[in-house]
Amino acid sequence: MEGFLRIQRSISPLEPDTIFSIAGFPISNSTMMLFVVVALVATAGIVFRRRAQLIPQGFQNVVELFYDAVLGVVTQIVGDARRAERIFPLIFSLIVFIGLSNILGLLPGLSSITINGANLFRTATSDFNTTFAIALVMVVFLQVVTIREWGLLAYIGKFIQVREVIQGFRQGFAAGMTAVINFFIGLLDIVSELAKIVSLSLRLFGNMFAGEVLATVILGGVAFVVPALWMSMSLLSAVVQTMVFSFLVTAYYTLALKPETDSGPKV
Amino acid sequence: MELEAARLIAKGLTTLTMGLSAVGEGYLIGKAFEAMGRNPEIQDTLFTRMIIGVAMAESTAIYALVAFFIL
Repeated sequence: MEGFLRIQRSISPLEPDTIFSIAGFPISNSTMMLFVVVALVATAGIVFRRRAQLIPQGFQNVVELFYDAVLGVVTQIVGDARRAERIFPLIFSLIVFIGLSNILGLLPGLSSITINGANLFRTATSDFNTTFAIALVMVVFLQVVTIREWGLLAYIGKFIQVREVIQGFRQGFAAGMTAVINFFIGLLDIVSELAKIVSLSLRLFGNMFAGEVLATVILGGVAFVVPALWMSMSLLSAVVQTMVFSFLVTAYYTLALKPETDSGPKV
Repeated sequence: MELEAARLIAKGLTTLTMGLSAVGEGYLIGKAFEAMGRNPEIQDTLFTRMIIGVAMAESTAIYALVAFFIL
């Protein structure tokens, strides 16, 4: 009865297990899942591109609905339709990739495929390496966008506000002191950029990893009915975390752009 | 104090800190309902935005959870 009412599994470790190595580069089980996700998305993209028709049928309806919804939200966050179209491919790819990685981990039976005693597949985003890589690349991209929009000197001047201190002291002592405070706040902005990486990656990783661990714990307690409740909660959090990550990146991008003017440098 | 005892106490303390995020989220959801009451037209948009806001406010609790698993 014990094996029937409960399913005992060991809690998946923080570090993913390595399956094999390619030329000294270890491939872990979350990387295997990444390959699956990339293969799925690439196949779907190629098939869809060939079969797309002017009047949508069937699956194309769903895709166009999704596309419209995401474009609407991104336009709302960026504020301007023309500039929203520039960032839109990146945000849509992020949503599809992270969303699929999160949701595929919920498929039952995937954790039963084992090789040499370790799971062959593991939710790709429940590995801190994956989420850290995505967050790092996104924040570096934001810095590049800021440099291209504002210029390299203005970008450094945002963090080290020497010119504002000189101007403030020229106006008067009180204005000078305010400028000195702003100088220290500018230095703290460097920390806040690093905090963006940490917060973006940890939020996604924590939600997915905790979801996995709690699923194992709940299955070890009661294996009927109760895991279904946790599954629905996991599904909700998978979708919500995708949206939060992508729309946060959009909001940071909007902050990095110059305010709306008629002429401006192209990104 | 033994290492194992200190470790378990630390784990318990990190779990306690997640309660504060519940207070923040409750405030956020209450404000969202208030706004929905004033302007029933934008209910759907407001609800979607509220879910995103709740996920943002949840993030410090998730950091604490990650610290719990690392300990």
